[in-house]
Amino acid sequence: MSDEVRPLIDRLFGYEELDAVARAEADSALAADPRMRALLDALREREAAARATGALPDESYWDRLTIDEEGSRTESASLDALLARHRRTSPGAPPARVRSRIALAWLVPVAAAAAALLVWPRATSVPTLAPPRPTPARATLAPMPAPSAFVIERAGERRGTAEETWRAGDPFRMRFRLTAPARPVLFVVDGHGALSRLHPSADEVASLAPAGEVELPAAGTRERWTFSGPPGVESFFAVAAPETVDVLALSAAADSAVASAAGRLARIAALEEALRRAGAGFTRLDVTHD
Amino acid sequence: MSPSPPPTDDRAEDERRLVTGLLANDPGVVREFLERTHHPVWCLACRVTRDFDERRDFAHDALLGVLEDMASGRFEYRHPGGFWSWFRRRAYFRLLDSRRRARLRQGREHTPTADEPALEEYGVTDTFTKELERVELAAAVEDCLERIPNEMHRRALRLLLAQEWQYQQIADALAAPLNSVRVWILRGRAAMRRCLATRWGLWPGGTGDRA
Repeated sequence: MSDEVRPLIDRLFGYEELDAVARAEADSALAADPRMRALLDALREREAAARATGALPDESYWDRLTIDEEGSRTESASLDALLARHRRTSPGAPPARVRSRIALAWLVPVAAAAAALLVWPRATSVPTLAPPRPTPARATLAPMPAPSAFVIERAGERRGTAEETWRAGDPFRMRFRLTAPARPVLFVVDGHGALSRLHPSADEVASLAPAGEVELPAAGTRERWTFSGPPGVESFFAVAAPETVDVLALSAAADSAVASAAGRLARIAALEEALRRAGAGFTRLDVTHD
Repeated sequence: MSPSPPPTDDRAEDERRLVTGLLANDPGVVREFLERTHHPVWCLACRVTRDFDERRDFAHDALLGVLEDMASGRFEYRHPGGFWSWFRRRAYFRLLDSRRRARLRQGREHTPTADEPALEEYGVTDTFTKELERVELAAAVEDCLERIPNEMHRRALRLLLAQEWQYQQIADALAAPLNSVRVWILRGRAAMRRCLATRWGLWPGGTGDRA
């Protein structure tokens, strides 16, 4: 898809939100392009089918819902298991696995450990034999090294500092260096504190990149990034995500962390904390645009 | 759990208390929520499988998944009845989607049988096979919605599609001008449809062309 066609397709895909003038233009474009009209119709049809799924009945129906005898007999077991499962996964839940108590015994003097082991069989229903301990750190993977040499460039012209001022509509690309193999990700927090993921885009796979220079959008692609929206500072984050990290999950965690913070700076801090928690290395670059 | 008859003040207050407690992850409120909602979800699980382990897994995945949805900001409370209305659709979708995923993991397609569950009580007038096809489409829509890179585009579109809010309600909730919300939804919808067109192989020529 060429750069010229993409804005037109985006307008057609956003047909429902167009004003009367833009909608008339879209209608003309669709009349002239039956394949595009068919595509849009197919999307709408499937979206409508997706919305037509059912729902649990209203409360008034609950008591009349029928289940088989086996279902009635086992329902309370399922509820008990659900409550137990939730307790195990809740913050502050007691240790769920006896194994952790055995591990604890290795850390106390031998006599105490022996005593603990003697009473252990009867102690499984009491909270613990020792004062609560902080959760041990996860088998600590060293965090990924932060990308280096993070710069923003105009087409063919190297700018390279955070102090440059850019204007809406200016095309740009970004470069940074990975010092170890990682999944490169690029986030941006705009002037209002809204978080976006520039790379990988929605329909791209976050592939593993070797150590070395990363250029985004990748050379040879027709993708083009430009500044838009209200003037202000945009904070870009070049992220080196570990191979084991699911980038979609990382994005979801970042979204969740940012959404729960108020104010741009707090949102940036929340994003940084989410990235650290995932073991990702990152470098920030602030860019002002008019 | 129903918006009909209209919630009384007590029902509205009860719902508001529940939502507040769930968002704060209050253990007592979470327990109350699970106890109150397990029965209908269990009944649906019993409709779609005879295996106890599957019934338990599907029901648990649905309810714990709804809690995850709330923790990740996928629900925004706006008006009395709004939570239960959202919950009824969300839990239903999550349970059938769990079943769909389980069958995929087992490498089994759904094959219609003579004793397919009847889902009339769940607002379904078509066959169970058709309903599972719709759930699969809904899972694709949800996945592409979650992949919209811009947070505000995604939040605005989610409120429109998943909670069926009006534009002005979305603008109020996001503390943004109405025109900004329109632009966010337009861009979000375009991004989501590009993803869906690729996923469903709808691009002209079937090339998987995408932006």
